[in-house]
Amino acid sequence: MQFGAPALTGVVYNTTMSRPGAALSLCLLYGLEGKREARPASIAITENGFAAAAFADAVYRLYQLGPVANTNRVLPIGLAVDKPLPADGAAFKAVIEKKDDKGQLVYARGVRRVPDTAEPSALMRNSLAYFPDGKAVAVLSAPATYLARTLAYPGTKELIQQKVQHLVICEGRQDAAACRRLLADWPTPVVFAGADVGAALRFPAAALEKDFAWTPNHPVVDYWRASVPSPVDEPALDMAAILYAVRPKTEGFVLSEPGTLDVSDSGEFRFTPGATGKHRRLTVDASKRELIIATLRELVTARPVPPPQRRRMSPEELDELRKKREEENLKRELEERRKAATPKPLP
Amino acid sequence: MLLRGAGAALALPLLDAMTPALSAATAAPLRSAWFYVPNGIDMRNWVIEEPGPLGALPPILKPLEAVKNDVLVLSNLTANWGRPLLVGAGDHGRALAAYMTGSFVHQSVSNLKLGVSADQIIAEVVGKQTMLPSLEIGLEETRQAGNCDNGYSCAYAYNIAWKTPTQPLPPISNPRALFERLFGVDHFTSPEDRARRLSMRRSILDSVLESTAQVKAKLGPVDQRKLDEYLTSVREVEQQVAKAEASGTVIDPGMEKPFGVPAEFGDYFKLMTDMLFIAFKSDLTRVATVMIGREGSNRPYPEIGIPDSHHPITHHQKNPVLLDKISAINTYHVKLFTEFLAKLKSTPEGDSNMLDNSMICYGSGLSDGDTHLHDELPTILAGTGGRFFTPGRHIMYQRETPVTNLFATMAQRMGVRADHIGDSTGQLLDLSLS
Repeated sequence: MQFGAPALTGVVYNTTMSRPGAALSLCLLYGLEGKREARPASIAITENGFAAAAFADAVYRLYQLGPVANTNRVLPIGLAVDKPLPADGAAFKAVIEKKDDKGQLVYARGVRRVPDTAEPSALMRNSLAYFPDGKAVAVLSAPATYLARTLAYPGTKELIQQKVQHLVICEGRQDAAACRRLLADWPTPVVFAGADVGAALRFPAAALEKDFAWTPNHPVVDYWRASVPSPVDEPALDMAAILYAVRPKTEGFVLSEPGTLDVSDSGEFRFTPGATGKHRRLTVDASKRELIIATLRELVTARPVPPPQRRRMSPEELDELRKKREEENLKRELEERRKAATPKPLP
Repeated sequence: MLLRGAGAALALPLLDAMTPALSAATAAPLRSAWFYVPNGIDMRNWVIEEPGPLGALPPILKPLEAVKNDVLVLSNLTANWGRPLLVGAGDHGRALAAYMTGSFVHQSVSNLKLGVSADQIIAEVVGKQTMLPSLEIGLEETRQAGNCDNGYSCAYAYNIAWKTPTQPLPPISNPRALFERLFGVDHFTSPEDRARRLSMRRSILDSVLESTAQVKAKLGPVDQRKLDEYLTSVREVEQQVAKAEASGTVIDPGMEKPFGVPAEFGDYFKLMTDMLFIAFKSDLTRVATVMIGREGSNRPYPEIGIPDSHHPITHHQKNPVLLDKISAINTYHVKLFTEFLAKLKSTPEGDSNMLDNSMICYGSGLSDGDTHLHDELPTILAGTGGRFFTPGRHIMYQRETPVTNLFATMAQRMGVRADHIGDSTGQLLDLSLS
């Protein structure tokens, strides 16, 4: 546990950022961080232009109260650039270039050019190392190309097995070959959230009017309005996937019996129930739909929360901590020596 | 080609066939070396803002002006396993240990667990062709035991080269010891005398191997592992003896055997790198590491007007006086490094020069030493690896790109096919424009 703070669940989120639902999912991640439950481990954007990454960074900075952390802690935004970058979306550009009455940019951001973004596959792997065992989850709402690449790095399958509780895959356009590799090799439980989950859970556009009134400018509000002139309720597929990943016991989420998820050559998913399958399907109990939507609405529109104050320790407390760490180190050393000295049984 | 090169011959044709562009043979041998600077850099005076051809250099890099068209400045590389992650303090031990191994650093004072460093992965293949598989040089006394950094063994903070995940290769810091490692204790004696001494050394080694084999069966698993590592070292000495016998030549180092460590750091640096130069020129080795200081080094630099210990001032908390002192130390190191590069460049070799036939990486596992940042690492790649790289440029990579990707690229260029080096995720792109 880092620096004695309670460990939050790290969310590895790989998204195409192609719908307002993905932008709202960023707010959800910061809402969960405000509750001290989870925080984004990494946000890897693939199949989208540079402005999408700059936008994600602007959202991050809105929610970070106080000075931005140094690069040992700061949230890197990944962007896939190994293929020619798609053109910047007009709605993202409108947000990152928005100026106030004095001609100043409204939204602060640190991502100003491609090298300010991170390479997505390395980012997703590296970000796992920040979290204790079993305290990370992964949500894939993009072609599996980059996550499959991450999984294939030497030693990473073991790292994922150690760190990641489960992977939630959202239905969407897929890279069939990469997705099959991912499904075959992913070492922890895989849950599939189909388009039916998004259809059942629609995030209310009415929230735009008053729920974000705590700030005069909100990049996600601006983006939603810029991308859809008359916003309608938005399918909450990504939001549901993240909420389930972090809070799997949320009332209203129903998990199927085991089965096997497959993807066709054209990238369509098919879930076949079967006792020997390694995957499960997520569905929504219709009677609890409003409950889940209310939870999402509360978390997505929550104000930023300042990080817990780190009190300066007194010299006596520091001494005590030092002694405690030394004792722990000694204990660990002795345990390691004991283990090393114990002969392994013959196979 | 030495007989011991037979093992390498198995691998090299395969590499040539698989990656002809990267492993094209050159007339002169390719060398790779790493110069490690401790305690991070004053990045204010290192960072180049824009990618592209190297123009006006920032203050710390100014000394490189003379060789500007022979180097690449690389930005944004990361050593993830150096970061505090779940552990917290201990950044200096982790920074050095993780830098060339790209591996998780097991926090322990006595039970070392790391990975194999890039130089040793290369030396394992290329080293079979030379008398010394690799050369480890340090410009500071070494410690191998004890707690040097918040529960991390001194072995992590003092060794950059790791032959196995549990066996560091301590750098040689004594000029005389380095001289004798390169040229032998008896380099001025006749070939007959050398042969007699080598023969005596061989008989001692035979005796050691025989007696240890008898003991091994009676030991527990941990002691057996330690003994295996010891025996490996002994066998390597044996191989060196064989290579020396096979060559039958006496290398004239062109210098007197040194005694003691020069008082001024600049003289010390020059003396040790002069010997590295000779080692490269004589093809005694093709792989080397030079630790300009151990991680967390407290060396003062009175010769440039800085009597303060290095490490404490790197915790500058943005104090401009301290930052200027750090910049001065950083610039001094780059100046000395540049002199070494200039010497390589001025030495013709085939139709080019020694620098062209080398890949010399200069860098650190920390960028800002104050907050102990393990990304945006300061990195220079000098030489063109046999006119392969396109120098004279600044390349900015995406963040989180592992620094071990650079080392994997160097390994590939050396003709070594390594699936990965620690946490590397591939080769670095854009080093060559051709």
